[in-house]
Amino acid sequence: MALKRKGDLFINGINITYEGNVKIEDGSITRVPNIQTNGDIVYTNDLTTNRSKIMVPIRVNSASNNTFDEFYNNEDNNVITYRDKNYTRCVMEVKPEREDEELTEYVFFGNPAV
Amino acid sequence: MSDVKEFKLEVPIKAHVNIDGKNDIVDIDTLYLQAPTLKHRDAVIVLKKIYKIAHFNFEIMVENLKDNRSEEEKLKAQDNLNDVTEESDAILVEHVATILQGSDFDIIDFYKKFINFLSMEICYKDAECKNHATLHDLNLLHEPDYQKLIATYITFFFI
Repeated sequence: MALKRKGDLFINGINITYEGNVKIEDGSITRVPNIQTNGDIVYTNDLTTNRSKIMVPIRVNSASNNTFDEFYNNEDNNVITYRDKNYTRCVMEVKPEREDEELTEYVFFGNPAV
Repeated sequence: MSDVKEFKLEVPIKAHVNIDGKNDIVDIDTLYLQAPTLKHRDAVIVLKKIYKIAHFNFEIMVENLKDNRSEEEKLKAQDNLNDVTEESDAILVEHVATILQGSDFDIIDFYKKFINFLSMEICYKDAECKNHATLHDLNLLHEPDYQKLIATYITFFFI
């Protein structure tokens, strides 16, 4: 069983107990090359990849299901703080598969905030 | 005793708030303190008792120190504490802070109990008192704000 951790992850002000490690992938702008005949390559920016991905491992039970169902229903109206990093407008795009007493991973996409 | 007391932070803290249904992370530079209610009775009894012990210890310590001030200076210092003005509010808070720091008692334990008490829907992050400060929010306070917040609450709601 993974180590239970509490005290460094907050979603909408609620302290979340998780098991294992929270994984964060900070997004970045993708530079898209546009080739021109007899001309320079013109780079444009794809902003859709510039969002952070926060993955939270949670032990499945009815209490955690209710909590995360509420976050899912909030759509993009979630804020997450993990240690010293803040993320706003976080959305859970899809609910993960949940088996009682097993670990599952909830994935949020959001904007990093200073 | 007024119902809500504003407390300005020297160093703002980042906190989660819900304003009109929208969740956001904002810089909080003012906390709003409410008077305790019946549900806080047990916590208030314990905290008032510890504060009274601290005050008693402080008075004994002061008596044991040689006070070279003239009678006129002593009366003027007492009048400063008795006058009710905005400036004297700050003097009263400073006096309570001096009592806490000058007394011989477990101040860290007292502060922890007090912060737990403040997180019981006593301290709020907005003027409408809809977002109460959690233990996590209060543990982000810098040391001067931390001590002054507790002294301010004692001054305005316990004394």
